[in-house]
Amino acid sequence: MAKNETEHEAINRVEMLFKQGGNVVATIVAEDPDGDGGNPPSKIDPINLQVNKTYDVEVKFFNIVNGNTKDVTSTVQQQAKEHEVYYLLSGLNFPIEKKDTDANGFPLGLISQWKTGSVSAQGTVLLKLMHKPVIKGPNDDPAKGHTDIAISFPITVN
Amino acid sequence: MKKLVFIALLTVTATIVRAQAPKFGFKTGLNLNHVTTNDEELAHDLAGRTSMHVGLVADFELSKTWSFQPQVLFSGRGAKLAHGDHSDVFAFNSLELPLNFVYKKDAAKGFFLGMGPSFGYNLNGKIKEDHESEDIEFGSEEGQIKRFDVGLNALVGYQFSNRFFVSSNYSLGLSNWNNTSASTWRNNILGVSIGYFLKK
Repeated sequence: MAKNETEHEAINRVEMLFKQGGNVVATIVAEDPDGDGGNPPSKIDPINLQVNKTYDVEVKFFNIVNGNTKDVTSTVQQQAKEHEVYYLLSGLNFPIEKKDTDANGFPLGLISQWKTGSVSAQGTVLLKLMHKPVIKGPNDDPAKGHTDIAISFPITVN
Repeated sequence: MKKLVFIALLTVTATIVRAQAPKFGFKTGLNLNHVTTNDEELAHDLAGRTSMHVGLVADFELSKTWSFQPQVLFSGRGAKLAHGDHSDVFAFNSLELPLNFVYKKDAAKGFFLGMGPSFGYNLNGKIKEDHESEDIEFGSEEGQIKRFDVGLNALVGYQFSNRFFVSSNYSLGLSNWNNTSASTWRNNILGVSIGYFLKK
């Protein structure tokens, strides 16, 4: 079987950069050494946001093997037509808008904008990177495709 | 497209009305599926998928050397996508209707050649990952796969005097199964079959 050398390896580290006015105000990290499924993640940073703020969020994906960290975000970007990132809030609600698209004009989600409301609340946000070659559409159900990585972050807005 | 099928069937029916009683048979064999695409990323991952076909064959004699051979096949189609850490198998169960015009020197025995359009209809489809399986959605929206497709079929075979025949066909997929033009999906099949006619 021909292996694709440009294909990303299993993702076991996720970074979310929260920016305001172009400056990073928080870097959230999660690590799941054995990737999606299997053992639960070994590290999940909580997300703490302020009410009535707009955050530009950039997500990065990494593969760490034997201490070597490889950024695979560009591979996901390159295969944008096959991928989509989802942010599913639970226990609280505010708009999260994906700001980037693939070559078909369908949402990608490596870049998003989060607008917290006036309500203080806490809950979780499930970050999912779905892999869906051929079948990706403009308004897909978050369950469509194969899960490359899924991490549930605790989130607090106050 | 439906009009095209109708006209093709009408022409064929009109031609065979004058001919002798048709003969019927069945066939089964392997499909070596090969999907082609304009999407470089997809093309890089694509690998073939081997599946089966089984179905009925009819032979309507048009002249001493020509006959019309429509077939109705239940056919497995699709492809395998090899990714870095897993692979996805796209498995379609389809109906195929190859309408071949066949030339043979001797109807009872010997080599035959044929060609014609082939119409396909996807009954269902699944994407099978290592431990997951997902139904493929069909329709005309982006992200869904089309039900209906057209191909061009070429056929070569040998008819034995004991009513068995062997044949090989290549069906060139002409339709894009995908509803997005940036990532086309055309299913080509190299088929190898064995079959049997119920009378000579």
